[in-house]
Amino acid sequence: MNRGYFGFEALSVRYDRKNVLTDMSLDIRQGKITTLIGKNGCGKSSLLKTVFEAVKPSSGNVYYRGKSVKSYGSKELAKKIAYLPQVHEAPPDVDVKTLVSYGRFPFQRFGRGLTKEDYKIVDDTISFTGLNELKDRKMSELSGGERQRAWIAMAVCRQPEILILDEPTTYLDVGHQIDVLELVRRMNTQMGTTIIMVLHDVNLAARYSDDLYAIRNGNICCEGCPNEMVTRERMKKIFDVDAEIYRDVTNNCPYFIPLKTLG
Amino acid sequence: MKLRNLIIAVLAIMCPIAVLFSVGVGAVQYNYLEVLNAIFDADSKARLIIFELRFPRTLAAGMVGVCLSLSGCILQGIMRNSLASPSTIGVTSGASFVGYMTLVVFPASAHLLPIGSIVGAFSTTLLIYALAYRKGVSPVKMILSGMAVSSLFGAFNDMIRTVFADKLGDAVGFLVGGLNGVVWDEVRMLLPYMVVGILATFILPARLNILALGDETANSLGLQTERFRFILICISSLLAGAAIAAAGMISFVGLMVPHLARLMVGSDYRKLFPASAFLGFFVVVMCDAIGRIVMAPSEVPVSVIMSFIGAPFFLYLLRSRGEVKG
Repeated sequence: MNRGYFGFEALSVRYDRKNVLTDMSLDIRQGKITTLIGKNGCGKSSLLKTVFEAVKPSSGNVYYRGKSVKSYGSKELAKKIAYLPQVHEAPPDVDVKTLVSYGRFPFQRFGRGLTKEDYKIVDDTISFTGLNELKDRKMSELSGGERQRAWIAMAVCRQPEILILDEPTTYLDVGHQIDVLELVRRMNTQMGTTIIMVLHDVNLAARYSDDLYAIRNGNICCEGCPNEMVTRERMKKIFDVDAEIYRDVTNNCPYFIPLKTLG
Repeated sequence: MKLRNLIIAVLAIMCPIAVLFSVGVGAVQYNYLEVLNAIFDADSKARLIIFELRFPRTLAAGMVGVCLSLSGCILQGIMRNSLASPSTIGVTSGASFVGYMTLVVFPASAHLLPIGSIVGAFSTTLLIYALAYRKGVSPVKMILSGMAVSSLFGAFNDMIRTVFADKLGDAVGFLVGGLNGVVWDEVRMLLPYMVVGILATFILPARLNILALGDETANSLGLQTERFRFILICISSLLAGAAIAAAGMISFVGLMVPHLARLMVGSDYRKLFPASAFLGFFVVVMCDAIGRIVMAPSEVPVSVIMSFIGAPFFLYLLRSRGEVKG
C-alpha cells in the first residue's frame, strides 16, 4: 500500500477477545481537518489511542511521513504529533501557565529546564489561545470549558504538525464547544496544523471539518466531505436514525435534525 | 511562586538549627558554642560525646529522614496516589525481612545489612509491581497487594524475632526503629548508598510532573512511562533500603512528610522534592532528639516519637486544610 502523510494501515485492535477494529486503513490529508464520527463504542477513540500505543494494535501500523510511528523515538514523535485524550488528570493545584509549559517537555534536553525560547513559546501560546487572564489561576478553579482550552494550549505549545483530539467538546456547553472548535480551526488555518478529531455532534463535525469518516463495526462505513456525508441515507447507515437534512446558510454547511431511531 | 521558594529556604535553614539542637541535648547538655567548638576543635573536652556519638547519630537521623521522605514522594508519584509510602505498600516490611535474614544468616557481618535491606526493598517493590501489573499499574491493586505483602512479611519478621532472638540481640536499633548506637562506622557504611540515591532524584521532578498528567498524556508527550516507573522503583528502593538499614521500621516519615510538604509548596515535584527532603531531615532529627530528652536517661525510639507527634499533627492538618489529593 502507498503510505501518504499520516494514517492507519490494515490496523486491527482487539480488546478482551473482542474485535474493536478490523483491518482498517485510513489516509489523513495533510493540512486538513478530519473528523471521525460514529456510534458509541464503534472504535473511533480506540483508533486514535493507537498512535501513542495507549491501545496496542494486534496487527497493522500507524504511519507518519511514510514510516511506522514505532520507528520514531518517543520524544521525536511527540514533537510532531500532539494527542489530547478524552479524560484528563492534572494535580488540582497546577496553574494554567505551568500546565501549558509541560507541552514543551519533548523539547527539553536531559537534565535541563525550560529555555528562554521555551518560555516565549509558552507566552505566545497563552495569548493565541486567549488564556492571558487565566494563566495564573489553578486548574481546579476553572470551568470545564476553560480547563479544556488550557489542555489544548498545552498541545498547541508543542507547535505540532498534527493535533489529535479525542472528543474535545464532550461535557462542554454550546458556547464553549464553539470556542474550542474555533480555536482548533485557527490552528489549522494560521499554523497549518493537520487536525484529526473525534466528535459526537455531527452538525459541529460538518461545520468544522474538511473530511468526515464514519466508523461502524470496526471499520470505515463511509467517507467524504460534509456535503456528501450529511444526507438522509448516510445518517441512516451510520447511526440508524431517520433524519431531516437542512442547509446552514451562514456557515455554508449541511445540518441535520434526527427524527427517530430505526431498529 | 516566590512564596514557595521562601518556604523551601526556611525549611533548609531549619536543618542545621535542628542539628545543633540535637547534638546539644541528652544526658549532658551543651550550648551552641560548646557544640560548634567540639565539632571543629579535635581537642575540646566535649569532643567524644558530641563528635563521636551524637553528631554521627544526628547526621544518620537527618539522612534517614531525607531518604524516607524522597522515597515516599517517588512512590506517591509512581502510583499517583498519596496513600503510597514505603510502609503502606509493604516495602518497609520486605526490606526489614531481608535485613533480618541477613543478620540471622551472617551474624558476624553487620555491613551486609544495608545491602540486604536494599535488596529487600527492591524485590518487594518489584513483587508488588508485578502483582498489580496488567496493562499498566493499577494504583488500587498496588496498594492492596502492598498491604497483603506487608502483613505477610510482618508475620515472618515477628517469627524471626521470636525464634532467633539471641542472634538479633545486637541490632536493637534496626529492630525497634531507633538510632541508638549509630556511630561513624554505621554512617560511613550507609552514607554512600544514601548519597547516590539522593543524587539520582535530581533527574526525576520534571518527569514526575509529566507522569502526574496520566499515562496517556505522558506517553503522548514522549515519556516512556513503564520504563520511567522502573527507574523510579530502583531509586526509591535504594533510598528506603538504606534508611531502613540505619533506623529500622520508621513508618510515618515516608507518608507524612511528602503530605506536609505538598500542603506547604503544592504538588509540583520541582518544589516538592527539596521541600520534602529538608522537612524529612528536620523532622527525624528533632524526633530523635526529643526521644532522648522526654524520658532521660532512658531513650524512646525515634519511630515512637514520630507516631506520637506526627499522627495527631497530620490529622489536624488534614482536617484544617480539607481534601488532599495525590
